Amino acid sequence: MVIPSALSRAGEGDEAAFARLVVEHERMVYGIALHSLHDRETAEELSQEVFLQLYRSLDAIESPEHLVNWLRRVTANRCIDVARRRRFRLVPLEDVAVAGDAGEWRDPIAARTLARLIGRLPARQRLVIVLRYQEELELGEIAATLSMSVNTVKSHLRRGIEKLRRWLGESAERSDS
Amino acid sequence: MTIERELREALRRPEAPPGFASRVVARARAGERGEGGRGRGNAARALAAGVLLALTLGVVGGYRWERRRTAERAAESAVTALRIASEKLNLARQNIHNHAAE
Repeated sequence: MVIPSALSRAGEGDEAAFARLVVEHERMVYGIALHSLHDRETAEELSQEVFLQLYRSLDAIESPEHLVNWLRRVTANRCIDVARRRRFRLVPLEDVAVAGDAGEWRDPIAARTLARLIGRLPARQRLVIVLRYQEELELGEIAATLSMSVNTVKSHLRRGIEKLRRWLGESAERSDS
Repeated sequence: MTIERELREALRRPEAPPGFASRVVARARAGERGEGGRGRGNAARALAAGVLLALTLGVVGGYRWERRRTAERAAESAVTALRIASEKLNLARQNIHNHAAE
């Protein structure tokens, strides 16, 4: 957990304190970007831009909690912008993001398949699912992060999971045949 | 395994690429040099505020100086007018006095 003094020191131009904030939150920001964009290079570039924007906005950050919410919101909005600029393209399986070592997975191929299928969802549905299952946010928190109503979040979540279930079923049928 | 649990596993936070934080800090530092940055940005804002304050004080000071000059000119004109009136009054009084003596 970031102690408040690190945030205030970063705000005063302390480079080491800013670096500490980056290290503290890089997995969250990079994870949202990577799971939303499915492109490591674009995800890293976007994540760097988010932290550079933070560097220019440190004076406006009031608390560590505000910082986390700010980072999630800015990352999500940038992901939506990128998705608007380019139609999603399917990526090779080996380039799909899967966290941790493959050995930790009960079924790493299934995990990669699921990650790839998440990438086929519309940008906002994808982000809702990433914020729900990567960040473990409540529906109200997702709504606040993405500036949408709780009912819209519920709808995106339900439809997204329905699609994933259907696609997983189709994928399993293809494997069996 | 339920799909929610599968999603949680598939969407665990990944490690950021090695050296990510260093690259961010380097870019922030480069931006500070290239774009003015936080420190120099603050200095630029302070300079701009100083220039604005000086301009404001200059305008206000100039306005007050102009008002004082106008008042001084009015006072000088009034004194000149009084002096002329006084001279004409003296001349008239002298004429009356001369006429009475004749």
